[in-house]
This record gives sequence, structure tokens and C-alpha cells, in this order.
Amino acid sequence: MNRPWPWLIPALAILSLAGCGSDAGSDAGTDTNTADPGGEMLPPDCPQGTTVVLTDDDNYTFSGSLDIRSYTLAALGDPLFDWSGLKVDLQGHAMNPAGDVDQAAVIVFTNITEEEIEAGLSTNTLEQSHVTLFTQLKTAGATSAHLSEFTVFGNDIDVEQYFEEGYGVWLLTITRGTVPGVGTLMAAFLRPEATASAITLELTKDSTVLDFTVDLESLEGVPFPPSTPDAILDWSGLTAKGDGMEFVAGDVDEVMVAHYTDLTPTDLEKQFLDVELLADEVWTADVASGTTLELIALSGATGPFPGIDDEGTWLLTLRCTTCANPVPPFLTLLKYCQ
Amino acid sequence: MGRIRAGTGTVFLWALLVGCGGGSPQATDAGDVVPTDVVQPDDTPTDPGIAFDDAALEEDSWEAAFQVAVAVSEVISTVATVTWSLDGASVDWARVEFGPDTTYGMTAPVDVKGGPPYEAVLVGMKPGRDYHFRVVAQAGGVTLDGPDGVLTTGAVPGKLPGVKVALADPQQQIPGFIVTTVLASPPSAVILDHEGDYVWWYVPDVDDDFKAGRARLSVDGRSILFWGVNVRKVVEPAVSTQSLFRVSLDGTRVEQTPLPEGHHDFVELPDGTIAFIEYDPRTVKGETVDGDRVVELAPDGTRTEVYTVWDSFDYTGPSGTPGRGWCHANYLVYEAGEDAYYMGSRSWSAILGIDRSSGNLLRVVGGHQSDYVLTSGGTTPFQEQHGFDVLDGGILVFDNGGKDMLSSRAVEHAVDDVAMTMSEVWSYEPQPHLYVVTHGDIQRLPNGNTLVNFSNSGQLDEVDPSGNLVWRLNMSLGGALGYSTWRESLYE
Repeated sequence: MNRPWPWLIPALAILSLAGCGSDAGSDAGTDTNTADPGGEMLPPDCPQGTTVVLTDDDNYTFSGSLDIRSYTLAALGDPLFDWSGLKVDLQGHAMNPAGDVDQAAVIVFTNITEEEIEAGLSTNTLEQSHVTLFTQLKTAGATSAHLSEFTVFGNDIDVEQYFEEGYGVWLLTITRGTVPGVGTLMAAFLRPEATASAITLELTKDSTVLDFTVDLESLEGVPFPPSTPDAILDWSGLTAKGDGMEFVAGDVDEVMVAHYTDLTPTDLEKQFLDVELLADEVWTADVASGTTLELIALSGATGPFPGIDDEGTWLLTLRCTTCANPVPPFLTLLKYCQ
Repeated sequence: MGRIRAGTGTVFLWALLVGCGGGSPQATDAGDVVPTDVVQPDDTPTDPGIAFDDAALEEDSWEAAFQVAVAVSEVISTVATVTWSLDGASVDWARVEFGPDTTYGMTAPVDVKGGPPYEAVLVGMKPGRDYHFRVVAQAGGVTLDGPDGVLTTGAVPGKLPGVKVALADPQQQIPGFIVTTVLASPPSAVILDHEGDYVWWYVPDVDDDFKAGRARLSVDGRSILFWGVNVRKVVEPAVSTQSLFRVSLDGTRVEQTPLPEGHHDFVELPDGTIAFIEYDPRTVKGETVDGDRVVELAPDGTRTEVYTVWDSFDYTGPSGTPGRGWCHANYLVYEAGEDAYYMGSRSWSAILGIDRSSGNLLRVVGGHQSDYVLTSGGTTPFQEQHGFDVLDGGILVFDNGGKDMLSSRAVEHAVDDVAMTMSEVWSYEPQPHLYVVTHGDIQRLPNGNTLVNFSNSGQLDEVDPSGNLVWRLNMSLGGALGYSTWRESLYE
């Protein structure tokens, strides 16, 4: 069984199913193929050599927004955060509130609004200077925690003493994994107010709402020579991410190729949050640094990447698994060529 | 032109006859790594009188054969090692010059005492760039320039947080390097240059609770030393992997010295002794209380307690500051001129001066037990401070500020050891204000500017004496920093 996409699980990502719109369906790689004089569709010509060079024109497009609900709580209290009833994460995936949550974090931002935080998380443009306090708690199977249990890197500073109006914007996250900022399952803003009496926050599936638009149908696909698992992937020329923001090569830390025997790009667009779950097979490779990868390094459940064929849909992504918004900066289709 | 590219794992070697009136180098390795330039040093006499003992060399004109190999580290792709020898000559001294073009600009020392082959580690290079390098050696009183070669550095690991220089005034800002740590994402020791490029990094394999708090260049210039903050809530081990890491500059050799009770800060003395802050828990009326002490670890492994706060202070109960413990020592400085340590205490908002040889408490600066009176009439020259810099006649402090302030700042006090007074003479607060709850560092730079490290906020500001911001570096989200040290050169 495939795991969910790491970049989808984390997501303070800006994704939801809204706006995935079109029902126009065409099989992967067929819409731009040429027809021979007899009318039969022919695969495109393969590039010279075995290096597959990615360009900005090959990249998918996405846009979206993130809406994190705000909860008003009694200031200078010790609020209880309860996620015991949370059975669905912000991407709509089923989750176990005890078993899937490894860490809770309360982050206090300064000199920035809730709306700017939502936008900054979506575009990976927040800076550490926006953070005045980062506190965390390893949950160890617990499904609730008081604010007073959170520490600053193990330093118990009684964070609840700061929980009052004017101290900044408070964000609660629960995450799978313990890497700060990665693996978010749900999030909520906290608003301490002196006149408020609420002392408990119950996270629900609506605490964070994701909205997104993604376009895979328009992808023409990158011609990929058959039976060339040793091809070299080169993304040194990329300048823009799928959301139009600057492409930072150093952000890429994983390459993934996925194969779908029966699904078209339109199908995947409609079920974008489950793209990895739906794959018949997935091959991945870590990228320590650089802008090239020998695809023979990709490995999956059945072994090394074998190269592609003309069956079904082949998806290629460059991922940033440590970004606050780990939506892949680059995603395209691989098109069988001759 | 010789070239080696990061990631190839290739070492290339060439031999080049210098001063033979031109001609092609004699390569011992085929391919595009063979240099085509022959370098004629400008200051080379036609008959230097060098007493080469290699009969292969011409007698009536000096000739020397440089054999040079370079390898880019497979661990840290911005670091390269140049290995070389000079056939037939006894080398008096040597260096390797390197830089983005043939004017070079940086110099790596070479220890020639051990004889050939000689070695130099090139560090300070940016990722993904071409760098020129050459050996410069003196033999028989004559300085010889080796051939120019080119290497290409590799990329920075994507898991390190992004860095942006948001403001730079090249006329006022001082170039150099900053040795620091990324606390948690991922915990690592790093060196940044003044343009915000990573020039060195090391990401240890440690447990989740390890937060990298301090990194320093070793006194022998061959390693980076670093360790974790190791803060604990109660008296129990905080981090199972707490050790002093010694990582060779090329990243290929890593030594770990377990110091499970060490925390926050350490400093290396000129003789290689490591002095560090260590928890010193004791039982007071049935309660286990964490005190702190300064311990030295000599190169031969001998441990010596220099000072413990229990010798100077009576425990009268918790500090009253949540989570800080009793003393919460957090910063250590060694002042060679007076052979003294200065250890910061966050809970007491004080800095303790300690005589190294006797272990006696020399002075208390700040806090309720301060030996100095504020001329302003106030009582708190700084609150919950972290980094500080002991100046001639004063002290520069990263003043975290208490909860009532919610703003951190840099502050300098003049200290009068005769009148026993302190006077605030300079301060700086960034715009917008930042409140840094933990860490924070500060350093007076040679040009008179001050480097202020708002650690947890991932921001470094360089400000001039008038308080003008002349340089600012910001880390991307997740890039909380530990302590830092500015260095003009990575070789000293």
C-alpha cells in the first residue's frame, strides 16, 4: 500500500478539491501527439541524448488559499487543546488522533497578521523573524494538552504567562513527525482575550480549510525515451514554481515518479490530494543537493525505476519535503517518445 | 585549465614544470582536468640559486616541478583539499591562494613541517561556483607561484533553511564569515559568508531533542567544534546524544566526546583545552537543584572543575522566573588577558567573572548581587541576557529583555572598576522590534560596528556606532540560529 504523499500530508498546503474543475478528459500524453498520414497518433520525437531537461513551460499550475479558523480563549489562562475528536485531517484524509499525531506546536508570530501568515505559509515566504516564540510538545499518544506543557526546545518557560492580547499571533498545529513546520495535520489560530471565558479548544476538520485550483490537463508532458531508466533529469533551468513564485533549486530534496495505469490527468486533477495513494507504483529518490539526478537512483516497491512505457499516465514531481507549504514546486507528465 | 567538479569524487593530478619558458603541462591524468596554462611568477629570478637536489632539473636555470592534486569534499561540497609537492626542493613556507578569479583573494595556510606531500584545505567558498587556486611556495629563498587550477563547488543541501541578505551597505559593512548553528531545522553547524551563502555545513545524526546551540572554529583551524544546547526541564538527562562534536573542515572526520551534563556553551583555549558549562545538581533540603559550574577538559582528557556557583551563592529557592532553574548559566567567554572566565546567568540577569587559576569569583556584573552600581540609578542593566562581549572598559550584552519589555536589544555599558559603577553608553533595537526568548548573541567587530544575532528570530543585524543598520540577514521560516562568531578569515 502506498503512503500518502508527504507533501500533501503536511500541508499547511493550500490545497483542497475546490476548483478542480474541468471534466474534459484526455489520456496522458495524447493531446499533443502528432498524427501520421493515416490518422494514427504517433508518439513525439525523443530528445537527443539521455538527459531530460525540465523547463518552466513543462510545469503545472496551481493556486489556492488557506483559511485557518480563529478561536477566542481566556487570556493568561492555561487553555486545553483537544484533538481527540479529529478523525479527518486538513486534506480530508482519515486520521487517528492518538496514533497519527507526534507533536503539537504553538508558534507565536510577531509583526504580522493572521491573513499574512496564511498567505505566507501558502507561498513559503515567511521568515524566521516573524516568529517570536516556538514551543512544542511531543504528544506520545495523548489527544489533548495544556499550553503549560509546551516548551521552547525543552526549556519550560511557562509559555502561558505570555498568553494575552498584544503579544502576537498564536498558531496551534498538530503534526505527524517532529520536524518543526512539517507534517501539519490541522491548525488553528488562538486569540487570547481578557474578557473571554473559554478555556478549551476542540480541533475539528473545519479548523483549517484548504482551497485550491490545480491544472494538470494543460500539461503537454515531457518527452521521455523508453527503456532509459538511466536517463539524467536536469532541472537547473527552472525559474518559477507551479504557483508562479521563484523556484529555489535548493528546496528540492526529493524526486518522485508515479505511474497510473488507468487514470488520466483529469482523473488525477480531481483527486489531487490522493495522487500518491492512487498510483500503481511510485519511485522516489532523495536529493541531497544539486539540480540533476540520475533516474536510476529512483526506487520503488518493486525495485529500481525501470523507465516508462506508453501505458497510462506517468507523473514526475520535484518535492520540497521541508517547506512550510510542501506543495511540489514542480510537477509534470512524462510522455513516452520514440 | 585544470578543473574539478564537486560530486565527481575525482582527484586529478598534474605535474607542471614551472619557469621553463612555456610549454604544455605534463599531465598524469587524462581528460579535461589538465591545466593548459603555465605560470611564470613575476618575481622569479632567472637564476635563483636554489639548491635543488633533483638531478633532473636544469643547472643553469631554476626549474621546479609542482605536482598538485585537488579534491572537492564529498561531504561538504564547498570545501576542497589541495595536495601538492615541489620536486627536488625543500620548501620553507607555502600557502594556497584561491578565489573566484585569478586575483584569488583568500589564502589557505600550509604546514610544511611534515614534509611533502603538503596539504591545504580550502574553505570559505560559495556553493555552485568556479574557483581558481594556486600554490605559492618559497624554496631556497625564492618564491614560486604554482599553476592556476580551477575547481567547481557543489550545492548546498536542500534541507538547510534559506538565507537572505535583506540589506547591505558595502561601504559600511565588514565582510567576513559567521560561524553559527541552525538550532533545529535541521540541527546543524554552519558557516555563512557576508553575502548570505552557506560556505560550510555539517548536519549530525542526532535525536530529535538535540538542538545545535554553539559552533566554533577550533584554535588549530582544522575543525569545527559544536554541540547541543541541552536544556532540561528537570534534573534528568535532556539529550542522549549530547556531545562535543569535532568535525574536520572537509567533513570527513568526526569525533564525538560525550559530555552529557554539558550545556549551552563552551570555549576552546589556546592550548586546546575545552572549557564548558556543566550542570552541577545538588540536594538542598530534600530538593534537587541544578547549579552550574565551569569545567575544563584538557587535550589528554583530564577534567578539572574551575568554578561552581555553589561556592559563591546560597540557594534560597527558585529564581522566580519560570523554567529558568536556579542559575541557568548560558554563555561562556575566556579572557586570555586576565586569564579569567565570564559566565552568564540568565536567571540572575548577571555575568560572573571567574579567576581561572584560583577559581575565585572576581566580580558580578548585573543582577541583584551586582558589584556595580548603575549611574542611571536603575537596577537592571540587562534582563535574562545571553551573549556578551567583554570589552576594554566595558561590556556589550545581548539583552533579551523580560516579559515586561517584550523587546530584545543590544546594550553596551562602560564599567568603572574603581568607582564600581556601570553606565549605559550605547544601545540598539531593531525595527520592527523582536523579542527573543532564548539565545541571542553579540560581538563588537574590528571596524567598530556591532553584530547582533537575534537567534530565535533568525536575524543578524550589523549596526554602526551611531545605531545605523548597515547589514541584515534573515533566515527563512525554521531558521532559528544559535550563538555566532564573526571571523574575518576561517584560517587563524
